[in-house]
Amino acid sequence: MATRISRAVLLVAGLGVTLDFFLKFPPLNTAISTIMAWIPLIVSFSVIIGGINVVLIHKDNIAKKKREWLYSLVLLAFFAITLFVGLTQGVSSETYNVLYYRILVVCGNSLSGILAFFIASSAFRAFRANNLEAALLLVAGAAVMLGQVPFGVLLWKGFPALSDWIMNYPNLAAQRGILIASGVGFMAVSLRLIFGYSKIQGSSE
Amino acid sequence: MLIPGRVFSFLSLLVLAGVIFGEMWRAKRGFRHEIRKIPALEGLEEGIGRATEMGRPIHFSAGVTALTTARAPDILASLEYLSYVASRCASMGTKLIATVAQGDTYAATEEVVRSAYLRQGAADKLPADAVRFLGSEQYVYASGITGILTKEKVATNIMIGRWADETLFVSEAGHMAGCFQIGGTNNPYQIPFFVVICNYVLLGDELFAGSAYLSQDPMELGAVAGQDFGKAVAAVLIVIGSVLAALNIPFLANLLKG
Repeated sequence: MATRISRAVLLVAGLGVTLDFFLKFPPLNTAISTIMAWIPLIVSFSVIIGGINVVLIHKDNIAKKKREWLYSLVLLAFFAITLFVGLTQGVSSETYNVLYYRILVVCGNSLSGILAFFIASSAFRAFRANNLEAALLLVAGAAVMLGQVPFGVLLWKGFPALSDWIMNYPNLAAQRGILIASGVGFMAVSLRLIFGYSKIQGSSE
Repeated sequence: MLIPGRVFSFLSLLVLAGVIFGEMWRAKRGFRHEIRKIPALEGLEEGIGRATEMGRPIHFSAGVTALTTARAPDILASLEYLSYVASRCASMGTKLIATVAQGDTYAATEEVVRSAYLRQGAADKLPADAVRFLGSEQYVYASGITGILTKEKVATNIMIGRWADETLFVSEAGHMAGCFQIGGTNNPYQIPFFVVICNYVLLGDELFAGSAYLSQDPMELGAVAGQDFGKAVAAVLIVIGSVLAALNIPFLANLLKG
């Protein structure tokens, strides 16, 4: 019964949002705007569920003294501090900004910086001309890289133009092919879901 | 009543919907659609078998995207893979760790995993920490996965869904941890990273055909056939459009803008 209700809600909401995109019909447009305004509310509730999950898992790690449980302790401590500061001083306060911008964002940027080394190690594995495709990848990759750095221009003045041509024609054509095919796939998945033909719906029936 | 500039899109959607439902109707009446072999989906079974033999966990992630964004179909397609993987894990007694980055995705993921274990009659075997919320910040999530891959000695790392800048970070960490890896995304900027690092990759729209391939459900195969019709029409329009543009005839371009 619950599954039938959820399917009915999905059908009405899915068709409503789809038609709202195409039609200028004030009653429908107003109704869908109202429904869309509910989304942040629903998301906020689901974040609370996620937060509870984090607390439960790390509480368990500490209680059972699992491997590297101290990290769980640090995580829960920061979780509690951030929650406390956010609730008492607001998310625009100086203390909250320190927690967010001086700790979280900085840590994220540091991890992002490691990507350069990961690119180097993965490129080293990729650029081995084991077969024709890999050889083409190697040649194209080398040409694009040499076109982006001053050293490439010193070797041959044509590298920047060759690099641009590879990026703007073969590369872009392939990317657009993927995007168009994915767009059709998007529509197919959405239609299957709206009309209740998806495997993940009512799977607990 | 129809908003100018969206008429052609609306008609395209109607035609595509008609073809998809038509093919599904044919399948319901007994017509059997064939689907080509997709190596990455064969690899999925290989990955599950590997983890089972090694007695180590499987990690599944759909990426950092939320269900309440325009990229929701990627996540929904990903959840269909998760449903399959969770069912196989439940029946084979393999540990599954599904990580999520968004609250709304967490609720859906938990439901999909729980339902899969229930279907296999193994609800009592579902660990409390099978689905883990790691945080919605991109690199918080990525570093969380990295920790799980290394600390819990994950045997198979499945990354199918909407992947962005964290692709390389997670998949390279998986490679270093010795994981058997399957990647899948339709984000063209991230596909190269998956191709370079993963054992198997679902390319672009293959993401949306996986559920039908894995289940061999006639109705779902019918939907994929309808989807392929849409792609064929798009390819024909591209060729015709290119020729007309070269001849400086704006007919098709104007039609698409209508």
